Formats: sequence, C-alpha cells, structure tokens
Amino acid sequence: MSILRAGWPLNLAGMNRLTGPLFDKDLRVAGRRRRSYALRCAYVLVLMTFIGSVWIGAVQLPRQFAQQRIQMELAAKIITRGIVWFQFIAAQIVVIMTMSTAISDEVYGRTLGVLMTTPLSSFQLVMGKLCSRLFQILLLVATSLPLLAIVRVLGGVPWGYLCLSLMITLVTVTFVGAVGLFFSTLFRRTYIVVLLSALSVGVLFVLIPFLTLLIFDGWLSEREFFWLFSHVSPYVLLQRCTDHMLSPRRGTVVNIAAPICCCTFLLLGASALLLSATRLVRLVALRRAMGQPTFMDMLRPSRLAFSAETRSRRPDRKIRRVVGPAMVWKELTCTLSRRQKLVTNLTLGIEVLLIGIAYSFPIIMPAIGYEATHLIFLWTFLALGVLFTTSVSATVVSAERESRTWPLLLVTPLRNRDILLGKCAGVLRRCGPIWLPLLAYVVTFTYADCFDGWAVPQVVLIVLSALVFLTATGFYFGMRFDRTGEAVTANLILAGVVWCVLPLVGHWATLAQGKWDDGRFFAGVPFAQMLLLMGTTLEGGDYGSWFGYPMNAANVTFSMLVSMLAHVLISLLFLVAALRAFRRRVN
Amino acid sequence: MIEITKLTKRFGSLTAVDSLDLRIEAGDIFGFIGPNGAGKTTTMRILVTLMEPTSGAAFIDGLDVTKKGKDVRRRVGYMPDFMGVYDDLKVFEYLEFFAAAFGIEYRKRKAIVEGVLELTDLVSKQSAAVDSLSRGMQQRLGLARVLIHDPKVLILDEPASGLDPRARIEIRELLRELKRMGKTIMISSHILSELEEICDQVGIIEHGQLVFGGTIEEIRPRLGLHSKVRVKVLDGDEQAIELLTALPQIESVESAGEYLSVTFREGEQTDGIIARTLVNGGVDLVYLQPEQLKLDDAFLKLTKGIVH
Repeated sequence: MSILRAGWPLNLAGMNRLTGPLFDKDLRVAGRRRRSYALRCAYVLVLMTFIGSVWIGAVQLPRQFAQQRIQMELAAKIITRGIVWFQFIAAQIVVIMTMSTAISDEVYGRTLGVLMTTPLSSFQLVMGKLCSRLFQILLLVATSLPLLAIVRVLGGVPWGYLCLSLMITLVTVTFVGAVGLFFSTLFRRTYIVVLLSALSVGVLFVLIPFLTLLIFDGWLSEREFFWLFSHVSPYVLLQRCTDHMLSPRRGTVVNIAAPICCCTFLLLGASALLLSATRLVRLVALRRAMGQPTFMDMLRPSRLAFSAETRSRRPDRKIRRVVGPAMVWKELTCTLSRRQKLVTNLTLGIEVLLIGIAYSFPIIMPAIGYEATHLIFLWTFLALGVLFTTSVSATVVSAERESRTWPLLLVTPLRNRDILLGKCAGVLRRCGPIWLPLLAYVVTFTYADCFDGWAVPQVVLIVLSALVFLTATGFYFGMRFDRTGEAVTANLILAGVVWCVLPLVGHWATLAQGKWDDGRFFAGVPFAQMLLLMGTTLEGGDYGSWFGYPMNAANVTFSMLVSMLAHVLISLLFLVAALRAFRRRVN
Repeated sequence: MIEITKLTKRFGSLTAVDSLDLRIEAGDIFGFIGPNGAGKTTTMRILVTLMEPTSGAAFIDGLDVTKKGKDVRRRVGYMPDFMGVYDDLKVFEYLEFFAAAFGIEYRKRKAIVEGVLELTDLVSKQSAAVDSLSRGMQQRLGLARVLIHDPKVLILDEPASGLDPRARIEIRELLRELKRMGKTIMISSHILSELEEICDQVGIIEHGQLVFGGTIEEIRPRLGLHSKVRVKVLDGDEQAIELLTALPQIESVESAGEYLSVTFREGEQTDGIIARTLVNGGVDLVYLQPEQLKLDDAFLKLTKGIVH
C-alpha cells in the first residue's frame, strides 16, 4: 500500500480527480481482507495446475536432440496459448465476481446515501469502484507475466502475440467489469448480478457469433467469419491471434485494424455502460434513502404508483393461511421478488428461444450435427441448472442472515431439521423451473424415439446428483459466510474444484505416468455424464468400452447411480456441518 | 423467573460477560442498562438460547437454558435490537407463520393472531405488507410476534430505539399493559428516562459485570448521592440561603438561576423543615420540589463509558 501513501503518483496519473478517494479506500480495504489474498493464492494455484497439465500434454520429448528442440518450441507455444487463454477467461470470471458487490456493498453498509451527500460525483463513484477492482485484476494478470516472458525467451513465442493478448485481455476485462458494474447498480443480490453478467457476456461473445456462423453457414466461409468477428469479439480475435502464433504460415495473419477496431468497440461499450451506471447510481441511492423509484420502476410507470404505502392498502391478494410445516409454507408461499422472477423468466425465455431457433431453422441442425445439437442443449440446460442451484442454495440461508430474520427463527421451537427442510423446499421451488426444461427435453425426445428409454433414469440421476450436492454445499457456505456473494462464490469454486480441477488432476497424473486414462476421473462429473448419456442412449450413438467394460446404457446407468450415491454421501456431510453451524453463527 | 449464576461468555480473548449474577422475580420489569459493548445483548442472547455460555448457568422459569433450549424457547419471547422482517409477507401472514413455528394449532391461530393484533393496535394493518410498515409499526409488529405464543418472559433488546416520541410512548404503554398481564419483562434501552418510568428494577452492566442491581430508590444510597430539593422564593434569595445554611440537616445551598438547590446531609431528608424555616423566616415560598435522581446520572456515575 505504499503506493497509496505516496499520493503523488495517483495525482500524477489523474486518478484522484477521476475516482476521488474511493480508489484509495477500496484498495486499502481489499488489502486488509483475507479473501483478497485467498483469491490471489487460488489464482496462482489454479494457474500452476493448469500449466502443469498443459506441460504434461505438450512435452513428449523424443530421443534425438534436433527433434527435442522442435518439440520444445512447439510445447512452448502450446504452454503460452494455455496461459494466455487461462488468464483471459479467469480474469473475466474474477472481474464478474468482484464487480458484483461493487455497489451492493455500499447499499448493505448504508454508505451509498452518505457518499451521495459528499461532493463526490456519481462518475467518480463508478470509476472508483471500477478502477479499484481492475487494479486487483491487473495484479492477478501480472502474476503470469514472468512465466510468459520465460516461455517466450525459451520457446520463440513472438512478443507481438504476448502484447496483443495482454491488451485484448485487459480491454475485455474492462468491458466485462463495466457490464458487472452496470448490473450491480440495478440489482441488489450478488448472485443475480453474477448470473446476468455471465449470461450477457456469454450471449454477446459466444452465442451471437455461434448463431451467426450457423445461420450464415452457406454465405460466409469460416475464414470470412473469423475475419468479420475478430473486429468485434475478443474471443474470436484472440483465437485468430493464437492460430497465427501456432502456425504463422496458415494465412491467419491478423492485421492491426482488427485489434484496434475490437478494442475501440469494447471500450466504447464499456464507456456507455459506465455512463449508464453513473446515471443510475444516484437513483439507486435515492431509492435506498428516500424510497425514490429505481430504474426497473421507471421502465414500468405503473410500478411508480405502486409505492410501499399503496401496497399496504392493496386489496387484491387475500391473506394466505399457514398450512403444514411453517418453514415449508413460507418458502413455498412467499412470492419471488420481481428480480428473481425476471431472472427466471429471462433464463427460461432464452432456453425456449434456443430450442426454437435450433429446431425451426432446418439449416442449423445439419450445420451443427444431430448429436452436437442435442449435446449443446443438454449442456446448456445443465449449466443453467447448476448455476441457479449454486446461487440459490447459498442464498436462501445467507439472505435470512442479511435480512436479520435468522435469530427470529432460531428462538422458535423449530428444530434445525425443520428449518433445513423448509430451505430445501425453497431451493426446489426456485430452481425447479430451471431444471424442468432439461428433464422435459430428454423425456420429449425419448418419447419421440430419439433417445433410448434409459435416458430418462440417467438424466434423473444426473439432476439429482447435481441438485443434492450443490444444495448441501450451498447451505453449508450460506452458514459459514455472512454475505450472500461470498457464499455463492465459495459454492461455485467448490463445484469447480470437485467437477473440474480434481478430475483434471487425476487425468493428468495418469497421463504423466504414461498410462492411458479412459475417463474414469470424469465419471462423477455431471457434464461428462451427459456425454455418456448421449453416447449410450442416442439413436445411432457411438458405443465403446469404458473401465474395460462394454459401454452400454445399463452399465452407464449403474455408474451414475453409484456417482449419485457418492454425491448424496458427501452432501450429507456438508448438511451435518451446516446443521452444526446453525446456532453457532447467529448474526 | 430469571436467574443467572456466574454467567461468563468469552469470544477469544474478549470477555463479553464476566461472572454475571442476576435474579428477576416473576411479574417484574427489569431494565438492563449499560454502555455499548457492555454485554447486554450477549446476556440476552444466552437467555434466549441463541448462544451458549462459556461457563455459569442461566435459568428461565426453573429451566436451564443450555439444557432445555426448546422448552425455554416456548416460554420466552425475544425481540432483537434490529428486527428482521420478511418483505413478502403480510402482517397477518407474518404473525401466523410464527404462530405455526411455535406449534400453535391451526384452528387456534386465527383467534390468537387477531388477539395480539388488537393488543398492539395493528388490526387496521393486518393486510399490509410487512415492509410497508413504518419503523414504529414494525416495532409494534415485533412485540406482537413476541406475544404470539403467550410467553411468560419477554426479553426485549432496545425495543424503542429509533422511534419517535409518540411511538416510544405507545411502546411504553404497551409494556405497562403487558406487566398488568403478569409478564416478566427484561428490557434493555439507551433511553434511560423511559426505563426509569416503567422498571421495577434496574441492572447496570459494564465490561460484562453487574455494577448495580436493584430498585431505582436503592441506587441513591449506593452511590452516595444526597437528596436534593429545588426551592424558589419570591424575593430574598440571600436571606433564604442564610436561613437554610444554618440548619444542621442541610449540607449546602446553591443558587441555580431562578431557584436554589438545597442538598441534605446523608441520611437526612425532611422536606417539611425547609418550608417551615422559610415561612417562619418571612420569606415568600413560591414552590418546593424534591429533585428526582435521574437514571442518567446513576448511569454516568456507575459506568466509565469505556467500550471493549
């Protein structure tokens, strides 16, 4: 923090004028939080694991020295590609996570209104939040630069690629940060901000280019597509640059216009979002302080008349009587908030739109391929279900603590398991609509004879595994952390470690021993299980062997059953830990 | 009704409650006073089974709070310092939810909820969304929630904080009504003058230790505070001072603006002697008013205001 104590560098850079004292304050606070250091440690750890895996895959040295040299050069390029793409994706994930609490932290701390009474402008507030978090991302990205430099020196990776990739990463992170900040001003709940930011980035940079490629398949060659989208999509641009770095003679030369155009486009987009956030943040502060309308209210003028006072007189909804167990009733009867409804409807709308597009346009199905279309849908539905369950399960408990209703529940004679049962009902109610399309999809196509009958029990087992596991871990982290954002983040990280990092480590360890891995480490990963479902139940699916046994539907279903039981067992441990923490953390 | 013996609660190196002994009789209103961080809320949380003590014991209605948690919860109504509300429930639904949580049968709930709504004067708000209520109304709703299972003991952590004077008076009246109903009430507050008016006993706590426990009348001799009387005469302040100073029961007489402040010697308080002396001395007496010992004074004298 010495840089902050010496104020002149900040003055010199115009930071004080741009961000006011917020940049300084946020960095100081971040420096005192353990989670900042935990984040950096986790980043370095995952980076090292990732590099290790790429290394094992890339370095298979032959005996001749000349061949070794060629192989090392290729390995260096592959490792560089791995690091570049890792930091490109990881930086975006981290910026979404950190930006999701940018404004809501001030709202919860009731300091947003106080800030608005100071001469600090809304622009300075927004820029202070953005810059302080971007600075931390910069530190993360900087940790991998020495590695890149070493690999570049040893392996002959061009400087241009490293500089260009760094620039693309930083500009993309700025844009994604602006997206996160924009949603952070609109929505109070961290997980909603995270979901919407991730969805927006996914739609903008992945879905739209992908659909364009599919729809204009006949008119646009792949090369033309890459050329066109490298001007607007950083993913496509980085892919082009990477292709050029790996095989410079393939004719994928990236002219300077594409990076300039793409970066300008992203920075303009970020500026527009930041200006919108600047306009909104004062409205949000007023809303919190004086009950002024929010942006969402202004979108629907009828909401403006629907103030708290008028709501209290609203005669339309009758009083609902409490029937059955109190907690279950509350979780099932409480109306979802407008924002929750919006997010759920938006997600369901996107899902229906995707299905509609895929099956309405005869051009798309052949372009993607029959199996790939099914797989994309199954993975998309599964990913959405996992994301929602991760967020909701961690939220249902921590939201009680944030709204300070937790002690009120604990002083009733309700047993811990009664409260837990109610919370489970709440998770089912909130996530049910997101999981149903996955089940409905498989059932429908099974009925249409596209899938074998085994697909239904298999998908039920996959959904149960994910749902039970994520719910239990979500409850646990909801109890452990005071803030919803922290609980959701921890739950996401755990899911990532269990379903991605650990299987990958096992896979690489097997490869490092020179043995062939038949995918056993991924047997418990829902996304891999979905692949197995496709492989064994889809009409004309590719059957093979697995674990030394013939890969058929019955064997795979049995392995899924075992996996589900393992998930349930681990979930029980987390549930017991959550129950034990119930009355330990009252605040 | 409430008995605390050598109660201690430590958070790491910090001792929030330190060998606290306390006894509150059935039907009493007990005022729990102390500076911020003195250990009031921690003590209350232990009593309502939200925390476990490091050592010592606490009993409510003869039940050990650490061993008979569920039974204790049925007998106690707890209102925390900041009452959380479920935004999406109506007032009636909110109360019925807690009635169900306390295991009250479905067919009895409606009448009970209506009863507490009437007691807390919230009948007109029963269809209002909880989050639409004003702060005062929410506090009343909190009291209604506390009463829903008809507990013998009410533990209220600063129920009047943040309320306007009218709402504070309403809460005070409600507490008096609850006392008439035979409830034992333990109440903490920073508005000391309010406790003074409604409490039978007070306990002043600092650094987790009880520095005083007893009635307000018992505070005076404990603190060595001498009785004072305000005297206003029409003319001749100097003559009055001369007459009163000569009395052996009077320790000092000071002029305090429009009136004289007369301090008795310890153990002496014979107000009649002042009136007789002044009238016999030919001084026109306008009024004579005993000065009440303010709880604020006792609070300031007993506590050092040092926060942990």
